[in-house]
Amino acid sequence: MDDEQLIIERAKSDPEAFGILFERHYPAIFAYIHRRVGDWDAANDLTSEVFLKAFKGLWKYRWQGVPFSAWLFRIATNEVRMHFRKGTRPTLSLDQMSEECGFEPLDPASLEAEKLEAERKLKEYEDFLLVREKVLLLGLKYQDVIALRYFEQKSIKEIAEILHKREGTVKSLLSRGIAKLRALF
Amino acid sequence: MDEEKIVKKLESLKCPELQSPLHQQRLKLVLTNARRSSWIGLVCVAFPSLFLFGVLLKYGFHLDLPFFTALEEKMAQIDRSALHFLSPVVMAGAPLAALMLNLLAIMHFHFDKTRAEFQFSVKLRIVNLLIIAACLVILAMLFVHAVAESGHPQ
Repeated sequence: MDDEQLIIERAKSDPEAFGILFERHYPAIFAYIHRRVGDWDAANDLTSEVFLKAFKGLWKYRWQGVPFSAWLFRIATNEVRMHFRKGTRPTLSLDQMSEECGFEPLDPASLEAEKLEAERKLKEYEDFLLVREKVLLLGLKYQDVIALRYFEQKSIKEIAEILHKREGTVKSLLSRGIAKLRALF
Repeated sequence: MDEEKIVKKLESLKCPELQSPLHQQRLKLVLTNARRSSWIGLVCVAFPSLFLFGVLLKYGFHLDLPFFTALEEKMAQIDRSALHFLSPVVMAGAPLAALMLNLLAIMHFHFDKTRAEFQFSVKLRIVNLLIIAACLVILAMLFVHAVAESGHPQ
């Protein structure tokens, strides 16, 4: 059993151990969701939802060759799909959750400053924004594979683990997705 | 644009690496503190519940469990020792603390100045509600016991 597996086992009964997993994986999950949805507030809400679901459903997680990060990416991908399909935000915001735990809400001025700075930085990535705009016109199954392969630099094997599909299916989706994307440029 | 070019474009794409430290910090705090009130509540009501369940079995249903008899004797010993304050703390203080903690976790008060309205809401969280119910039962049983004992001729 490696270090991460031990922490996962501990995290099933100890929220502090879940905190360690959270610190390790939050940056990648937040960045992935933000690159997919392109909206700061939605990325915050969806990331909260992903970790809340992971926290509540950790007892279901079994180490069967699928890394924990792939499991988190799978939850994140499902949340992103739901966001695109329904166009709604998760029902439970971080403010509500903070309130339930007895914490004061975050200072709106600091949050706004962080968001404005992020939006300013995002505008510097013109090529990415253009590609993302075109990718968003594709079906969700193509968006998933293209985003994971080229935005997240995941291998075919990793994408297959995340999407719970065969490697051959992923390759075929990727190839068809690229062909569809080509037609949009 | 041909397929080779588009693949090259995708492979060399520079992606933003944005982070939200404020959100990260707060979310971690919320997740690592979640369920704390219910866990503390469960610990606080566990012993009094067990004891009162034993009392109910022994005096209500006349089922004498050896474990409970030993526990009862141990508690009587403690009551006669210098640690006699322990029984009320464990039997009444702990459920009372659990009751307060869990009530605070689900109740929300808010005064809206603009509407001159006082708003009060209760969240329907099953674990907290069950602990509150258990605390109320324990405290009610202790109250009835105390009233019965005070009216009983010495």
